Amino acid sequence: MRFKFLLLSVLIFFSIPAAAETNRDAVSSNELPAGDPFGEAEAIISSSSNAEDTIGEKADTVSSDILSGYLESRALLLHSAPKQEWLFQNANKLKLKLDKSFNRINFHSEINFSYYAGHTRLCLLEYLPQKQVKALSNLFGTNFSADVYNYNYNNRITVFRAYGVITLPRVSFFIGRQPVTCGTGYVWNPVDPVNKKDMLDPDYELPPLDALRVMLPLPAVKGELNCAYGFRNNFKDGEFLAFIRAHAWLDWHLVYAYYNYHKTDFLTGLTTSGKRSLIGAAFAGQAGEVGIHGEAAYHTGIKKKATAYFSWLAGFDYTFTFQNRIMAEFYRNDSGSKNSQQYTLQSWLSYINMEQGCLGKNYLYLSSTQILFDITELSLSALINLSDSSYCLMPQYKIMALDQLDILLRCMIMDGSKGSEFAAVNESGELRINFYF
Amino acid sequence: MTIDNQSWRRYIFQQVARFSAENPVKILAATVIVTLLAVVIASGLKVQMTWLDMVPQDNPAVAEFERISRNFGSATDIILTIENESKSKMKKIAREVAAELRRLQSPGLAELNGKGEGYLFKDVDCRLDQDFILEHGLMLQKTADLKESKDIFRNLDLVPFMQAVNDNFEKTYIGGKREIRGNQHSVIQGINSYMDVLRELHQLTGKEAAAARGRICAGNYFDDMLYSFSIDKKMLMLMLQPACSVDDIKKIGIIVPLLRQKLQKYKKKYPDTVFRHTGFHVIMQDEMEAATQDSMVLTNIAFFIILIAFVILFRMWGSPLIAMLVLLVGIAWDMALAEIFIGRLNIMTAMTAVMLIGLGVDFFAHFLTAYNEGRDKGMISTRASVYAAGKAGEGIFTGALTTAAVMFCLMLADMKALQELGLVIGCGILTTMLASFIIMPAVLSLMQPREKYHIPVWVKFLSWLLAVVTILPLVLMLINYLNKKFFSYQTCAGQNIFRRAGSFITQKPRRVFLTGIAVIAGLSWFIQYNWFDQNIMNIEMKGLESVELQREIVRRYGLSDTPVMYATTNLEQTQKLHHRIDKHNAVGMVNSIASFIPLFAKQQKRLPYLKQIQQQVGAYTPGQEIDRRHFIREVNRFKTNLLELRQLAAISDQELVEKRLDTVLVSNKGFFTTLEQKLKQVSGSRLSAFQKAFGSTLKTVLFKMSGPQLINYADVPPALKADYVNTDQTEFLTTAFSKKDIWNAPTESRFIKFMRQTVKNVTGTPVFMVDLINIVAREGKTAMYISLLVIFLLVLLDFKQFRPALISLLPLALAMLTMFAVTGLLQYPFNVVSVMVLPLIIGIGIDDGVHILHRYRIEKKHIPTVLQTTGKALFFTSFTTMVGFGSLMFAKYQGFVGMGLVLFIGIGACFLITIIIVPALLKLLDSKKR
Amino acid sequence: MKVKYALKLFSILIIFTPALSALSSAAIVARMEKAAAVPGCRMLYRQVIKRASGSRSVFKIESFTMNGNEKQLLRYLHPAKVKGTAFLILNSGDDIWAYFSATGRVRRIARHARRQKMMGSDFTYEDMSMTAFKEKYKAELLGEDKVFAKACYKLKLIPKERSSYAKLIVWTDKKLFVPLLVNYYAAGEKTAYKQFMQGKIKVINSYPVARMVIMKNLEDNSQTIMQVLQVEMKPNINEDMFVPSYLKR
Repeated sequence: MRFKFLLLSVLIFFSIPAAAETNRDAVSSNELPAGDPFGEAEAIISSSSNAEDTIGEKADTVSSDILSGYLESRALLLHSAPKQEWLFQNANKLKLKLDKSFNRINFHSEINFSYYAGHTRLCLLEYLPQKQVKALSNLFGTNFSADVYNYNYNNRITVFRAYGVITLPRVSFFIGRQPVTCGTGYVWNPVDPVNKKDMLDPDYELPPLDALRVMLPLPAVKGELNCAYGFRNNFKDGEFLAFIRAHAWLDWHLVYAYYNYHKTDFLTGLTTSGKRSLIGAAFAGQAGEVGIHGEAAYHTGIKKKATAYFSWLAGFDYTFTFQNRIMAEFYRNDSGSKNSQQYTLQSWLSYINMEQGCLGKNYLYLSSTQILFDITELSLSALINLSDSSYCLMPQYKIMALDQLDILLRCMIMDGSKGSEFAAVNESGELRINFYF
Repeated sequence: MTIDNQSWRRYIFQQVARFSAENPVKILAATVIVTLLAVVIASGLKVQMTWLDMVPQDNPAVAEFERISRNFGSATDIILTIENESKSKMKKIAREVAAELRRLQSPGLAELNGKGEGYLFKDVDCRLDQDFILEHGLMLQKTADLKESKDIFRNLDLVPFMQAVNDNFEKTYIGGKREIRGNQHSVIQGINSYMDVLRELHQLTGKEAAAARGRICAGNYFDDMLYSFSIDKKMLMLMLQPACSVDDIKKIGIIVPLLRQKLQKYKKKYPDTVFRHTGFHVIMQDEMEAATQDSMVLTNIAFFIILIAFVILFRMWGSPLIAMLVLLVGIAWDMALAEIFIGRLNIMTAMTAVMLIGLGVDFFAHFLTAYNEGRDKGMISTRASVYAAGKAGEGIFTGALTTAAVMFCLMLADMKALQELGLVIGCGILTTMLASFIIMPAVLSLMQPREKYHIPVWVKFLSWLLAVVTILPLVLMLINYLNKKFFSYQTCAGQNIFRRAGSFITQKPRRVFLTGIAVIAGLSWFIQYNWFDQNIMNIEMKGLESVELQREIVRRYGLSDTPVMYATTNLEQTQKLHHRIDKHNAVGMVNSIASFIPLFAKQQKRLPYLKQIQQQVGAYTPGQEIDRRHFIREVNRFKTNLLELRQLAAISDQELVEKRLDTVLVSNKGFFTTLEQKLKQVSGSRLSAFQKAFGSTLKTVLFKMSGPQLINYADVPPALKADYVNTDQTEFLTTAFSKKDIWNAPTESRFIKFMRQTVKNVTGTPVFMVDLINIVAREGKTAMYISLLVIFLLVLLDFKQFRPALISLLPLALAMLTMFAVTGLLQYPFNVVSVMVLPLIIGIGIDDGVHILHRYRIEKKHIPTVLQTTGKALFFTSFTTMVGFGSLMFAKYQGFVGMGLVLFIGIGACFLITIIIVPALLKLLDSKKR
Repeated sequence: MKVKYALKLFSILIIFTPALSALSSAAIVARMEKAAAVPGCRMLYRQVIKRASGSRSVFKIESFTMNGNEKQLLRYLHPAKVKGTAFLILNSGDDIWAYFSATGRVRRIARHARRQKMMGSDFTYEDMSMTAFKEKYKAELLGEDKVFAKACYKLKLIPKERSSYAKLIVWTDKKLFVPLLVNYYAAGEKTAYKQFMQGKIKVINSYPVARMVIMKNLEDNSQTIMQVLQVEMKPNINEDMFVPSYLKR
C-alpha cells in the first residue's frame, strides 16, 4: 500500500515543475513549432474576419439581440369512447424568443403564453379501459367529475427557456432553464432520462430543465463532454447528467445519469421517490445508403429500492430517390409489462402521470414520409405496441405554404384488443397552425 | 510512542499559556511597551517597487549598470514632455523650462548632500548645440543621405528644389540606395520638412511679409533638427539628469515632488500646453506611493472581511476582534524587524501586512476553537487557555514552523526580493504565533466575566491603550460592552456540516477518493494551456501617468523605450562598435559620442560630398521669377508620390508612415487643391520674395553646415560630451535601442542576443530582464524543490513515521496540480512575480494536512469528529488566507494580481482536497489494514 | 548538367526504390522544384497579418503564377485603400514592378528591396522566390525527421548570393516534396528568428498545393497567414499577363 502512495506522490511532485517547465518552453524557441500552428492560424483568421474592412483594427466584439417566436393554434378533436361523444379542444400558444448575445455571453429566453378553450377539463376515464375504470370507481366512488379523475388545462404563462451561455477559451457554461438532450432515437430515447417524449408526437418541443451545465470540447473525438446538474423540484433533489456527444467516425453518445424517479401508489396515494443511475450509449451512422441508429441504457436503482432494468432501441431510415423517407424503430423496455393482462391500474396511472415511460415492453414505430410539390409533406406513421398488439395509426399532412406559416393536419386512429394500450381512445384529430415571426 | 515525544512541546505551551493567563497585567503592559517601540521603529520603513531587486546581486550586468548610472547620469534621465500644436511655442517653452530647472535647488537635498548647494538636476538638455550642428551638421549625415542632399540642394529655387525632392522620392522605387522599409522615421522626417515648406507657401496669400515667411521657413528647416520632436511634431522631449542615482529613495522623494510643483506652475502659465514627465526615478516614486496606498487599503479590506468571518464563525464578538488586534500587534513587531534587518519593503514584501493577516489569523483561529471547546467543557478562562495550548499547541507550532521554514528557505535564493520576502514573512509568522500564545491567554482571561480576578481600573486603561496602539479603541469599548451583555459559548457554526461530510466520507471512502482523483486528473488536462508572460510592462502598475507616458513616447518616437548600454574606454573603439552595431538590422538606433564624431574614414568619405554641396550652394543665387505652372506640376507630382507611398506603406505594414500620410492626405483634405489655387492667385512679387528669402537663408545655413572640416574630439561641445563621456574623460557611454518592442519577449530578442555577442559588458534593464527570466526558470524550481524537501523532513520529524508524512504532503501535491490546471483554464499567464510565490503555496498548504493528521490521531481515527473539530478551523484558516492573498487581486500593481490569483486558487484547492480526499484516503488505508 | 544527372537519377530511383530513402540533397532539391513548378495557377487568398501588438490587418489578394513562382502577378482586392494595387514579380523575385491604383502609375521596385518586407509583416520579396532552390541555395541533407506528423527530409540551405539569411533549415515532405517547415537563421545566430510553415496540402492536377501558409516571426510572435480561398490550375496560362504594361489592367 505504502509504496503505491510513495509512487503516486513522487509522480505528482515531478509533474509540477514539469508543468511549470512547459510554460516556459512555450516562449523559448525550439527548432520545431510548438502546438498546432495551423489551428492557431485558423483561430486568428476567424477572429479577424469581421475586421476585414479596417486595416490594423482589432476584431471588434459582436453584439446582437433578436426577438422571434411563433403563434401556434391547435384544434383537437377527440372521440371519447365511454361518453360516445366528440370532445373539442382549442389550444393556443404564443411563444416569444429573445436572444441577447454580447461578446462571450449569450442569453436565450423563451416565454410561452398558453390559452385553452373548449373542453379544457380532461377526464382520466377517457383514457382508461373499462376494467381499470371499475377498479378506480371502487376506490374513489363514481362521481367522475371529482378532481381526482380530471386534469385541467389552465391558461398560463410559463418561462420555457431562460439560460445564459458563457464561452471561455476552452470551456463553456450553460446556466439556467435550458434544453438538455441526448440520444439518437426519434420516438424514444432510452439514454435520456431527463426528457420524457410524448411518443404520439415526438417532434413536439421538449420540456426544459433548470440546470447548470459545463461543456468541454473534446477535439480528439470531434465532440464535447457535457456535465449537467439539474435542480429538480426547487433544488431539493438534483439530477446529474454527464454525456459525451461526439461525431468522430460516426455520431455517438456516451451517457451517465443520476436521476430522480417517483412512484405513486395510487391506492394509498403515497409517493415514493428515489434515485436511479443510468449508463447508456447511442450511435447514429450510415450503412451504405441506409441510416442506422441505436441506443441502449442500463438503469440501476440506487440503494436497491428500485429494480434495475435494461432498455434499448434500434432503428433505420432510408430515403428513396422519389423523395420518400421511410423509418422504423424498435424499442424494448424491460420495465414494461409483457401483455395487456399485466396492466394494472397502478401501471396505467403512473403511465398517464408520466412516471413510467410506457406501458408495454416492446414497441415498433414505422413511418413513411412523402414530399409532394416541395411545399407539402404527407406522412403515415404507425406506433405498434407489440406487447398487447394494439396500434395507433397517424396519417399526417403538413403544408409549408409560406416560410412563415406551417399548417399541419393529423389524426390518430387507435385500436387494439380489449384493455390494451390504444384500445381505450378510438380516434382523434388535430389541426395545427404555426405562424412564425 | 509519538504522543510521548510530543508531550514536552505540549507541556511548554501549556506553561506559557498558564503564565500569561495568570499574569495578564504584566503581559499586557510589556506588550504595549514593546509594540509602541515596534511601531516607532517600523514607521521608518520605505517601499521600493523596482523589479530590479529580483535580479541576483552577483549578476555582473547589475553591477555594471549601477556603475554606469553613477558615472553617466544620462543613463537614467527623467524625461519631461511638452505637448502643443505649434512647434515654435513648444521650443520657446522648452527653453524657458530648461533654464529654470537648471537653476532649481532644494535645501533638503543640500543637507542630504552635506554640501552647500542642492541642485536637483546635474544637467537639462532641451536642444542640441546650435553652433556645432551648424558647423558640422552635414558631416554627421550618412554618406547615402549626403548624396541625396547633394541632389536636393543643387538649386535652392522653389521649382528645382521641388523637382529634386520628387526625383528623390521616386528613387525609393527605382534602383536608388535608400530603402522604402528603412527607418520609417527618416521617411517621415523628410515628408514633414517638405510639407512645412508647402504649408508656408499655403499661407503666402496672407498679409505678412513674404520674405519673413521665407526666412522662417528655411530657418525652421534646420532649427527643428536641434530639438527632439516626436514623429508627428506634436511633442517635445526634455532630458533632465537628476542629481541622484535610481536607488536613492530618499533623494528621489525630494526631487520628484519638487519637479511636480514646478510643472503645476507651468500648467497654470500655459493652459493650452500639456506637461508630463516619466523616467526611472519618477516611476519609482509613483509606484512607491501607489504601493503604499494599495497595501493600506488592502490590509483594511482583508482585516474587516476576516474579522466578519471570524465573528460569524465563532458567533462571538469579543474574542475575534481582540484576536485580530493582537494579530496586528504581531504584524507591527514583524514590521519593526523588517526595518531593523532590511530597512525597506520591496516589490514582494510590500504586501506583507496583507499576507500576514491572512496567515497569522490561523493561529488565533486554532487557539480560539480549542479555547471554546475548553469553555464548553465548563473550564474557567485560565484552564481553557491551558487546555487550548495543549490541544492546538502542537498543530499550531508545527504549522507555523513549517510555513516559516519554507519562507526562510527563500533566503537561500540569490535574488534580493526573494531573500527579503523569506525573511520578512518568516519572521512575521513567528511573531504572530508568539503573539497568539503569549498575549491571547492574557487578553482572554481579562475579557471573561471574572472568576478569580477583580480588574483594577488601570488595567482596563492599559488594555485600552493596547487597543489604541492597534487602532479601533471605540469599537473595543463597544465590544466589551456587548460582551458583558450577550457573551455565548455555544459551539460554533458549521460544525455539523463538516460532521455530516465526515460521516458521508466514512461511508463511501472509495467512491469519494476515486471521484476526487478523477476530477483532478480531468482538470489537469488544462495544465498544458499555462503560459509564461515575459513582458515586464504587463506587471507594471496600471493607470500611472508616468508608465503610460513611457509607452506613449515609445509610440510617438517609434523607439523601443529602454536602451541597453555599455561603456568603452577609448574613442576609436567606441566609434568602431557604434558603426558595427548601427549596421545590424535588429538595431533601431545607437547613440554615443560617435554619433557626433564619425569614424575618420567615414568623414573622409563624406568630405568630397560636403565640398560639392558647398560649391553648389556657394554658386547659387536666388532666381527672380518662378515658372508657376511648372512648380504646380511639381507640387502635384509630390502629391502623387505621397499617395503611392501611402499605398505601399499600407501593404508593407508600415503603420507610422501610413498614419502620417493619412493625416497629410486625408485629414486636411483639399490641402493640395487649395494650395494649387493659392499658388495661382498669389502675386508673382510675393512668390519671388518668398523664394529669395527662402533660398538665401537656406544658402547661408547650408554653406556653414557643409563646411568641409573634419570633426575632432575637441570640437564636440561639453554639453554633448556630458551625456556620453564621464567627467574624467576616461569612459564613453553608448546606448542602443532595439527596432522591435524589446519587452515583448526579451529572451527571444535578436537585438539582445546580438548585443551580448558583440559587447561583453553590455547592460541595461532589458538585459537584466533576460537574466531574470532565465533565473526565475531555474530558481523557481530549486526554491520549490528545497522547500518541498525541508517540509518533508519537518513533517517526518513531526510524525516520526513515513506514511503520515507522505499523506500530509498529498493534498499539497494535488493542490499544485489543480492550481496549474485552473490557471491553464483561465489562461491567466504566469509572470516573474507569480512564479516566485509558488513555494508559498507549499509552505501554507502543508498546514492543512498536518492539522488533519494530528487530529486524526488525537480523535482515535474517528473521521466525523476530526472534520467536526478541525474541519471548521481549516475552513476558517484557508478562507482567511485566501482573503488575505485574494485581496491582492485588486492591487494596482499588476504583478500582485497574478500572485494573488495563484495563491488564492492554490490554497483553496489545498483546503478542499484536505477535507475531502485525505479523510477518504485515511479511511481506505485503515480498512485495508484491518 | 549536374542537375540533369540528378533528375535522371531519380527517375531511376522512382522506378526501382519505392521507398525514397537514399536521396541525395541535390535530388531532393530538384524534386522540390519539380513539385513547386506549377505551370500556371490562379489563386485567391486571404492574408491576415497579426502584429506583436495583437492588432490585425486583413487583405484579399488574387494571384497568378507561372512556372512555380518564377512569374507572379499579385492584385489586392481588399481593403479599399489598397484595392487594385498590383505587383508583378519576375525572375523569381529579381524584378519587381508595382502598380498603384491610387495614381495609376507603374513603378519598378529596386532590386535591393528584395530583402525588404513586402505584403505585410513577415514575408520578404526574397521569400517569394522560395522556389528557385537549385539556383539560389547550396543544399546539404541533414537527415530525416518528422514534422506535423509527416515524414520529412531535413535539409540545410545556404544562400549562394547576398541574402538577409545566413542559412535555412528546411523540412520537406518525403512523399510530396513540399517544404512543410523552414527555419530562417540570421548570421551568427543559433536560434531561428523566422519560421515558414505550409499546411492543409492538397494535390491538384498532381501538384501539391498548400492551402494554409504561415510565416511566423519568432522574435515578437507576429505572423502572416495566407489562407487560400480558391485554387484554379491554368496549365496554359497566358504569358502576356506577366508584363508591366498588363498591370494597369
